Amino acid sequence: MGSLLYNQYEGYMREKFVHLLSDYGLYLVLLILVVISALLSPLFFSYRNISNLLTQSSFTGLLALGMTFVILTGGIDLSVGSIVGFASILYATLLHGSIFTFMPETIFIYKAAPELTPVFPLAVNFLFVLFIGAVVGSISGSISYKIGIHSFIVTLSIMIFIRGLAISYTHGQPLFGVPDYVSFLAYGTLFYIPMPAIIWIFASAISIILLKYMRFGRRIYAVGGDEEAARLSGINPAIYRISPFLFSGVFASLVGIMMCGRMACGDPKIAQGWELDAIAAVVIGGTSLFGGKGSIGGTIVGVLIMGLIINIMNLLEISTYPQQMVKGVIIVTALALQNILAKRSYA
Amino acid sequence: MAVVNSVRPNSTPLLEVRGIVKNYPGVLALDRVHFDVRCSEVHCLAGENGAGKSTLIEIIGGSYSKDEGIILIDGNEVEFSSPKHAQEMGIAVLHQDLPVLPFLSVAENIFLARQPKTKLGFVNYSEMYKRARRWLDIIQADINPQTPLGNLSMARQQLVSIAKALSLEARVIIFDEPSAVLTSVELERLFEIINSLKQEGRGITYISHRLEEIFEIGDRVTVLRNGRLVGTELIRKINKDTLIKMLVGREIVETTGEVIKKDKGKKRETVLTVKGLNRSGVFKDIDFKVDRGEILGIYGLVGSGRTELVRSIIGADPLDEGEIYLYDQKVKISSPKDAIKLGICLAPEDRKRQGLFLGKSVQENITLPSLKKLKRACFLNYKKIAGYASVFVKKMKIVTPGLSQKVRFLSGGNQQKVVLAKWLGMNLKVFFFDEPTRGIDVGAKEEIRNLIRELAHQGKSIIMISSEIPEILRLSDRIVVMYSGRITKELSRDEANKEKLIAYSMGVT
Amino acid sequence: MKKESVQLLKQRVAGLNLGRYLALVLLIGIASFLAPGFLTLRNVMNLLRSFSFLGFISIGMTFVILSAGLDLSVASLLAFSGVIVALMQHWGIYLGHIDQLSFIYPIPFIFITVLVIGSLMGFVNGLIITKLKIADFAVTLGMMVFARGMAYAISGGRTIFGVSAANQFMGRGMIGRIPFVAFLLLFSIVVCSIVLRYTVFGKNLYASGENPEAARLSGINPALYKITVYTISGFFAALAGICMAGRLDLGEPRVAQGWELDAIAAVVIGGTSFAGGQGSVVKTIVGVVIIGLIRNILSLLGILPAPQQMIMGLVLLSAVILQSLGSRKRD
Repeated sequence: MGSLLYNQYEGYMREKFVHLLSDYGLYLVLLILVVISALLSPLFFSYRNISNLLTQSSFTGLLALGMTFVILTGGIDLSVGSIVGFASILYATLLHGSIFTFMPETIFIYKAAPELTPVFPLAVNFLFVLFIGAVVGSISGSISYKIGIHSFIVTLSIMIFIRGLAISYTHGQPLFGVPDYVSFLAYGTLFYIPMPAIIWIFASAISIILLKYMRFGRRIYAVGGDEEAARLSGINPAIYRISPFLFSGVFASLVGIMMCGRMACGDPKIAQGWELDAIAAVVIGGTSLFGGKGSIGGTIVGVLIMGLIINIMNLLEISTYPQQMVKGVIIVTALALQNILAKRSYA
Repeated sequence: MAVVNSVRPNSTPLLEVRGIVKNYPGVLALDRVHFDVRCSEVHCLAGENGAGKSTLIEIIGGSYSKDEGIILIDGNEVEFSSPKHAQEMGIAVLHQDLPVLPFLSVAENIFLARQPKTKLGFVNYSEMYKRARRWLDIIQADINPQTPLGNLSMARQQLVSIAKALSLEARVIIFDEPSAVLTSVELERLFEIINSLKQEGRGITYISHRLEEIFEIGDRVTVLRNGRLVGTELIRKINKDTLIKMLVGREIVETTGEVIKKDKGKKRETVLTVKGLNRSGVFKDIDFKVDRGEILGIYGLVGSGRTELVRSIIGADPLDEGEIYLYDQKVKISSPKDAIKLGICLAPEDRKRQGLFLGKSVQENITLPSLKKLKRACFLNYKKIAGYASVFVKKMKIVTPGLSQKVRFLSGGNQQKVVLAKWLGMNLKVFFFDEPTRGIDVGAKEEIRNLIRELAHQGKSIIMISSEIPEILRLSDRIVVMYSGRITKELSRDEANKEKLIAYSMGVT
Repeated sequence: MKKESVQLLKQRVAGLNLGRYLALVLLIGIASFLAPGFLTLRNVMNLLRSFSFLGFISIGMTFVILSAGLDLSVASLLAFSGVIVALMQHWGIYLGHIDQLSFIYPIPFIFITVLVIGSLMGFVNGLIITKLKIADFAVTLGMMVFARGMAYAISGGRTIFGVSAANQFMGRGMIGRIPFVAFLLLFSIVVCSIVLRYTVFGKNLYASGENPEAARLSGINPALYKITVYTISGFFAALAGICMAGRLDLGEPRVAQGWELDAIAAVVIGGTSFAGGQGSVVKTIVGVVIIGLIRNILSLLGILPAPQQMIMGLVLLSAVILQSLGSRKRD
């Protein structure tokens, strides 16, 4: 047999160990964090704490799903936090009977209808907001790909723009009052599982199917890994470079709608800086910022790790501000580890 | 294994190209080239650097368009619109530097963009692994289809791309210098595979710089030279000498321009000595020395490790082991900065990417390394700088409307002169020139050659890499020939001739 | 030869990029039309002062972008420096005396300490980027979050009211009728322009930004320059932070949110290329003035901060797109 080529593995075991570490190290970290949390507080394994943890993670988790698509193609989407805020206020205004609120006060004084008078039929309101998210995402993606500017700077501009638009929309005012079915999205449970977690799990499942079990997803990996190799195989890179931003926009606007329920209002100022949490989760999950490598599974673990770290810091009664510092350190450390492991295993 | 060596001349070729012409600005890359591949044969393609081999296979593979000529498959004319189209017509090119996706599994690399699907439209992994397994088994490659491709050695990656070619139902498989990355055992294995592919009735095109490989595996050989077809011969009817003659051609070596003999009276003084230089997988056991006022030529084909060697010597790339001596003093060079401090510089091969700042002016490019000398107190003295730059613009006869012209807008020859000019005023001792006259017009070539001679005359030591045999023969006092990372021969000026250079650079010993 | 000289002249004119000066004149015209008092000395001096803070961090950003990098941490470093400079003048805060000034040590040393801390944090950015080979934006994003968190953490999220007279002078003092901070900015511009144009350091920086590989083969160590520019950027962020604390007469972890974007926009509008190796500090200052004027005009028009933000987003996006299209045409 053709074993002539086979006997060239040197240090096979060590190599294997590095691979194991880079493949399963994440789960190990997750496990350690769970143990630490359990030791720190006997309440950790209570239903209340776990469901809280899941609910909190779900919002970042959904953004991180979209971000995974984007980062797999070597891009980055900084606009997601702003889109959450915009979607939240847009959805609230739709429920309150008008979308034409963005006008100078002198021309049009916006007064929210006291009771809920949705502009469109129920589901259409919902879909309309998702559609707007998709439009914003595809604009970012198209400008970045077609003009050849790094998505980082494009989405940065879009981030400022959308946040400004969201705040202008109702002159910065939150819009209170949402119907019960919206609150249900944030506070309801199904078989004792909180609704946001169910949505997150459902969206993760769809993303996994899309990325892992559809040709479409495999092509995203191919384009992200090596655009030239993909082109030689007859793949049109444009679609696979632009559509991840669309997904990211849709997920962000979904989070915006859920936040409406969570806050019982539409608020244009929410979710500032959430893009960083999403990026951090994706990077912790082992997805490479250069594209082509990573998975939704990793991202989910990354989100849980982030959630647990915050949970532990809360248990230790560390205030919000140092928590922010820790996040900054985590992002850079995760990237550094990724680089070091990658160097080891592909030397 | 029964080897079928008979080529049936009457059968319709699987692939045939007729009268292919390809023009690049200023260069005729292919001039009415014919080439065909029949079933059950290995048709080798040979030629020096720049003979047009790569251009030809890129056209056959659908990556480049042709200017004239026709491509026939099974006798029917086709027009390739993309690499994918060529693949669909049964042509697979196994590039030397295969574009691969290292993080994806072997199976996915094989079935990229055409993964098998289940009834529901999902990617059917088990089916994909099974099929990949099957294709890998056919070539007896013991590779797990689920491992990421990047974890495999180059040789095994190559087996994967052969499996991919088979899975594409390719009837013509083109190997572009596959031996460059293989060890001899791996190569033997590859030949077994090629022979079995041949027996199945596929047509193989095999491109190689190594003559013995051509004689071992080939049925026919086509030789290209300067974009022209020299001839197609049956391997069993020719021998190595005939093939070398075909490669070299009958053209007369240019003898214009005086040949400056070295002053024999002067005592030779060795300036640079390198001993046992090694970089794993790139070059091995390199020893040479250069005297004061000597021009040492390095000849070797692309991929022989010559550029990598000089880059490692000046510290631009790492060096695994070996010693470098300057005037018998052992030196350590870990960056180009160290090298320059010691008086050693490199004018790199890829001048636009590595030698020039295209958006900067002629003056800035020329003076960059010497700025430290052009100061008054802490500040740059622009008067001095302009004076310095204009001296070298005059000396090098750089044609430019002014010192502030951006280098981007200069011609290739003038750009190259700028690259060289920046080293002239620095009182350096050793100059490495990597392809100093590539891609520039004849007049500028001659001026640069004269400059190199003049530098040697001033007592500088020069190491020059060149692919142009007449040039290297004319300029060099000695020539070392490299072949797959090693120095195979050192020739004095009197011993060297074109036949020898080509033979040694192709591994003939 | 004559044709070539004409070509050279054309290139020079194109190199000047008159468009942005035209925009500047146009904006001044619009502003003085909208507000009759616009061109009074007093107003101009006020504007000068308000431009200066952004000016400092934009100078730092220019160095970073010249090296083909990007520094997102400047605004956070500014806020952080502002907080420490105030804290060091309220050392008694840890003893319970909140309102009184109590210096940790004499005020000049406080300034020096803060400048050193700012530079050090920039240095860390550069070190991580070059040694661990992580993308510039990712590292500085981490630093941005980290430094802002530090600013909140050491101040406990509170505003520290009142700084010393010396510090106030840094931010709001006047020399004659010209603000001190404008002098400081002018001085920085002159020094930086000289460094960039008349020193080996500057020339090598341009070279290693435009083509790191060619620079390396010319005997330059690009990593060293990368680290240095981030240090410079950190220094200017700290300087801006000190002046800002003086201007506001307080230390505040919330100041300068999003200023990194204004700084990037100023650099890009000024015509410094993201690809590195092209541009200058003076150009950036033109960009700073353009951005400041746009903001000023928007305020004069009575446009609220949020729509202003929208417009700034569009301005940044169009500046980047125009630059990208422009450089494509040139090649």
